[in-house]
Amino acid sequence: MVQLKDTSLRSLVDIEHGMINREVYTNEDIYRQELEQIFMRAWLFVGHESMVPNPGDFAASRMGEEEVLLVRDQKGKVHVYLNTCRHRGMKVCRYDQGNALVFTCPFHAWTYDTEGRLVGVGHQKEAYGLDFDKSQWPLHEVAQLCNYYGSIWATWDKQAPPFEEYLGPIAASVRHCFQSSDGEDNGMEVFMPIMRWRIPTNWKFPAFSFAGDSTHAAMTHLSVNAAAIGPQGAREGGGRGLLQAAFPKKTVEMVSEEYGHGGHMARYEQGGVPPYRDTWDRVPGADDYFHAARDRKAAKYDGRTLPPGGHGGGHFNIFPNVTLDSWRILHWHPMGPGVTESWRLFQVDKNAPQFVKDGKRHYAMRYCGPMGCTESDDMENWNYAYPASKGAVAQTLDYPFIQNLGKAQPDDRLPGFFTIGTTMAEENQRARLRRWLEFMEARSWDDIFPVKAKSGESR
Amino acid sequence: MTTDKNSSRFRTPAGGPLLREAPLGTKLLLKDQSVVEIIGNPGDGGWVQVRYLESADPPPAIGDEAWVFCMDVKDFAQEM
Repeated sequence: MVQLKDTSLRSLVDIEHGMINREVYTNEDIYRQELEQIFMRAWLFVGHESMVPNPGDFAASRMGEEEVLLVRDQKGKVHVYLNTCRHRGMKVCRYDQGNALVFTCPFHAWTYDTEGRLVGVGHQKEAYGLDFDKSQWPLHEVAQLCNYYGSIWATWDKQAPPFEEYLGPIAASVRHCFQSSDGEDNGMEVFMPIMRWRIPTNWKFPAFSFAGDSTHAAMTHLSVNAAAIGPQGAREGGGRGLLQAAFPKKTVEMVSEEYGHGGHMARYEQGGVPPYRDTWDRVPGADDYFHAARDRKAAKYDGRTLPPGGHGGGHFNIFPNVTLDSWRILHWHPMGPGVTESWRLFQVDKNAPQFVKDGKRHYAMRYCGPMGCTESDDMENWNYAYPASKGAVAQTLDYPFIQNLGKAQPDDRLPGFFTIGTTMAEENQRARLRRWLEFMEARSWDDIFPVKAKSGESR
Repeated sequence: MTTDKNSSRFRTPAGGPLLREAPLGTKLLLKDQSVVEIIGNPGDGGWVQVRYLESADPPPAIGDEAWVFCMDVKDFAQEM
């Protein structure tokens, strides 16, 4: 008699031993379950308020596979709507960005104002009667929206905890990423238009490994590491990152285990703001701007210790599908088990002079996106790993996530975080996969929040 | 001098009102004989936001604002 294999999720995900079956990344049924269990439930990054600065401005975004509209209504309030007419489902907006008085469905002419209200129905009198109650048919709006220091987040689940509670201990790091270089809250804007392109891989390859996979860099980025794409050019070895002044800090594997958030971030071991070091050789005057901004930030922080992440302190993931830093946002949208729509938003100080903004934008384009020298290396790995993991034989094999397994410890200096004293570890990926399993099995938010505290245990 | 209905950029080739191009303040005659003034135009050709200047029976009342569908517009209430 043929012995059927155990296909339960728990049989595929063994966090304790760091073994994950490849089906988790390739199985169509699991993917469909993710859309419902994770993307209809979790808080998701949608965009930045600077994408819609004026009344009537809109920008298309995604929540999971589905397209949403980030809209600033005529009164100035920001909304997120599903981009689908309530009548027959046609997209009510087919532009990536713009300004609109109403969103008119081109199918049967149902039209919605920027507050989402159905304000017009074609042939209403003849087809529905004058007493048709249009208030019952607004655009479908998210259950909760949070403008977090300029960044816009939303969830479809009204039972989801408040956004800041969803972030847990990493909230200060998110706030820091949206501070300008001089430490001003909500001091950023993003360049428009944003970058969008599709890659043939499962969304978890980038979303679960980015900011948590240091051992790939030496080989994967061998060429770009020698190409001097950084703003300092070939000076001091021509690295792809920005030069940094010496300061007591250590970049480590840092995870808020129970929430699934974390990355490779700096643990500052001294209060205050690191000195600024000249790095923008290719943009005359930019270093003067950043020196002055650093001094203003130092005055604001007044000796307080910086949060980890952002502004030279590393980058990190917010579960499930966004990676944050203070100069780039990497957003990974699932578009099928083997398709990921990759979005890049780049922040810059909103009050910076134009030549500084241009310099930052050019550096981001050299580094990131479909033509970026660094990220095109990463894409090659993910894009080939997916099909090479799909075969019947390949799927009998596990991915090992065993780097520094069991070494993460609670960190007294960073309440709520577990750390490992190196970035050569896969604790971030294990934490995300653990949280992934919790979401996939949960019947409601009651099963996954409040998180089950793990402090005091090693992982 | 009157405008040639066939050459106005505010009219369709068949001579009907082309709402897409109609500027704010343009007066329209609706099929129910109401007269309205355009106060918002999304430029989609299907809808305009209007204020009632003369209202047929039943309401809306004079001064009310509403969205009007192109199929409910009889013509411009002014030379266009």
